[in-house]
Amino acid sequence: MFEIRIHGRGGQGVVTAAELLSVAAFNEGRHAQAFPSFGSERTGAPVVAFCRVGDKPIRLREPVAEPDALVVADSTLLLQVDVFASLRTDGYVLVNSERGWDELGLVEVCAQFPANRAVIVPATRLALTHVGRPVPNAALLGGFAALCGLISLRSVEVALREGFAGGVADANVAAAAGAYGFVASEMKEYSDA
Amino acid sequence: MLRQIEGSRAVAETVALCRPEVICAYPISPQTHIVEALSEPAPSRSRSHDSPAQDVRPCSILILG
Repeated sequence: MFEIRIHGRGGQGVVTAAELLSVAAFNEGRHAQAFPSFGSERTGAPVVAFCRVGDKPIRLREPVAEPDALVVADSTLLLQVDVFASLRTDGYVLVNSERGWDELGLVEVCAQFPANRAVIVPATRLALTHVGRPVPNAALLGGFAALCGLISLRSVEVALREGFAGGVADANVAAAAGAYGFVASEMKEYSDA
Repeated sequence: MLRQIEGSRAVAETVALCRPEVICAYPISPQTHIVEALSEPAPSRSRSHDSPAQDVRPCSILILG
């Protein structure tokens, strides 16, 4: 079973991202679940959502405490929430930011993980470019597909088209594809280095 | 065949299958989606999702707080 925890802020589509991730995995024939942590629901408030993917039925219903992968949709949360709590040392990290690990103050944290398992992607910029709104969730899903290969970009696209209609779906698919390409090239750089 | 479904929608479909005549519900998180789904006519849900609730008529009365 593969467990993902997504941190973000209200309005960033974190809950939708976890749900679409589960849809993408389900469409690939796997078992999947997704649910948010319900708290005070306000735009801008810290939000956590979870997703589990497995090859067997998943009976567990509790929050993901020890994730295999972490997605951080808003890097300002790094100052506020212990987003890395109990992340496995062989886990994957995807952070939405325009900055580097040093600027984010995460060089030491990042060093704990294999180089090609921690990637920063400018998901908000990609969302603004393709969708026209600062909602990074679709881009993060594309980036996530490239980072760990749990799901294919094609499955992300299908899930996005199930979740959104027409032009909005096209825009989100473009953002996801852009992030997929970005993360894939970052990982190629790591492997070439 | 397996179908992936939101928990709230599963609750709403189960309620619909009970053929209630009146549902009193208040839509607030985390049960908003249950009430939203109940407010849709059941036949339209069955068309889009091939649900067993095919012959369920819309609720006659849905009271929202």
